Amino acid sequence: MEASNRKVVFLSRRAFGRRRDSRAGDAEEARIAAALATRDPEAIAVVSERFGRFLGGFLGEALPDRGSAEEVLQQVLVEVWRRGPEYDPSRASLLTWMMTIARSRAIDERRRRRPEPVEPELVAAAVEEPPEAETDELLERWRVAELLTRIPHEEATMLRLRFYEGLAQPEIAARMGMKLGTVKSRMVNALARLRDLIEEEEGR
Amino acid sequence: MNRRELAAAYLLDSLDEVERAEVERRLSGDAELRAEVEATRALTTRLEALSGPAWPEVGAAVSAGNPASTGAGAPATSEPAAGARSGSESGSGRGWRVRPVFALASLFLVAALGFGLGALLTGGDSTRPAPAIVLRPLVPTGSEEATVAMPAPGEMLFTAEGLPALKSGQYYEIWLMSSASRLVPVASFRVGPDGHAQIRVPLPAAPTSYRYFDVSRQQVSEGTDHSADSVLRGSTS
Repeated sequence: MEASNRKVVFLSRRAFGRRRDSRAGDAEEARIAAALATRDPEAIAVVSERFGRFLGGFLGEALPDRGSAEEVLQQVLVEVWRRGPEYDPSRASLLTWMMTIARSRAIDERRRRRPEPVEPELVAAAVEEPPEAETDELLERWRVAELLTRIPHEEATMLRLRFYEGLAQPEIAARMGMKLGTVKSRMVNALARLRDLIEEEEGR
Repeated sequence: MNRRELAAAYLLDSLDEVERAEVERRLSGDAELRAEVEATRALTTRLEALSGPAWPEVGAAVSAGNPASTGAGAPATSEPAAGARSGSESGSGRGWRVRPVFALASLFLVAALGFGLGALLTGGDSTRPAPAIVLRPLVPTGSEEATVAMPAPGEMLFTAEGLPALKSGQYYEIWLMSSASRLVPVASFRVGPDGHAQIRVPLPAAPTSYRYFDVSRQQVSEGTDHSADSVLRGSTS
């Protein structure tokens, strides 16, 4: 690779320690995609740093044990590296593309594994879903998890307090030291922003 | 508000009675508003289903001077979510050494990523015993706090301090809970004048199957359903 080309695609790993807004995120994603396309040696390390939590989180929940999730994560990253030049940003975001690869490898792994023995009362209670349906739902959740990093942290925090910790808006206002009206309007903004980001992704 | 904001406000229950009635009147005739409400409802369902590690950490966003800024009121931040430690903006990947290798891509990845992949999945050493779960007040009124430890597989040791005194006919109930419709009672108890209680019981379900431990204040006369008067809560993740 020419020295000048290498400079263009060089990625600063320090950049991925900062919270990013949506526009900065697009530029960052474009740099990563360019690095994957040229097989920049730093690219996969940067991918892991930026997206590893979401890929690893998805696989950790999609697969029954840590060992198989680790193995599949390695497979996914190898495949992302190998297929980097194929990624087309006009069709999907980088994370969506990588999650699609992760989804396929997770489903392959679940189909490959032999059923684990379970207690008889659990067999009666279990509802057997096809691996694709459950995996697809997990994938959508982790996509939403990544979108939460693209809205202001304060708004993401409010959503966490509401939807994960189960607090009502007056409790959130007390916890965050804010007026109730401010919390209400910020939470409306947060949900609306997430909807915008989802729509932007679906429009590709 | 535009339709998107209106749908968000409606589902967040941020509208007053008049505004809410107006939205419900519009829903029957406004297909676009209906579609937006349904799409936003799908989003909120996914947000409710997100596990602890999927959420950004809370700490930095809570204002100084609020008890939660010290971690006291934000149970989930006393131990950062496993996924958040490993690959998020906190950048645990800084510890990985990446050496350019002009060989097969798989060999490069094994050398570059090494043990760090495990951290992406669990956020740390899985051989350490799980730390105690801290339950903190939803709205602090004093120094009430509780911890849940697992002294043996399937058993819980619950220790509470500073719980408010109860009136006649009241008691506290410990729950494993994910939502108002998905919860299981664990144990009932009262406290003495010092607000202290300690209970060791077998758990009716695996804590990891639920989002948090919750302590509610119940009235004997009002039955055994959750009273919606939660006093303490702590994340199980």
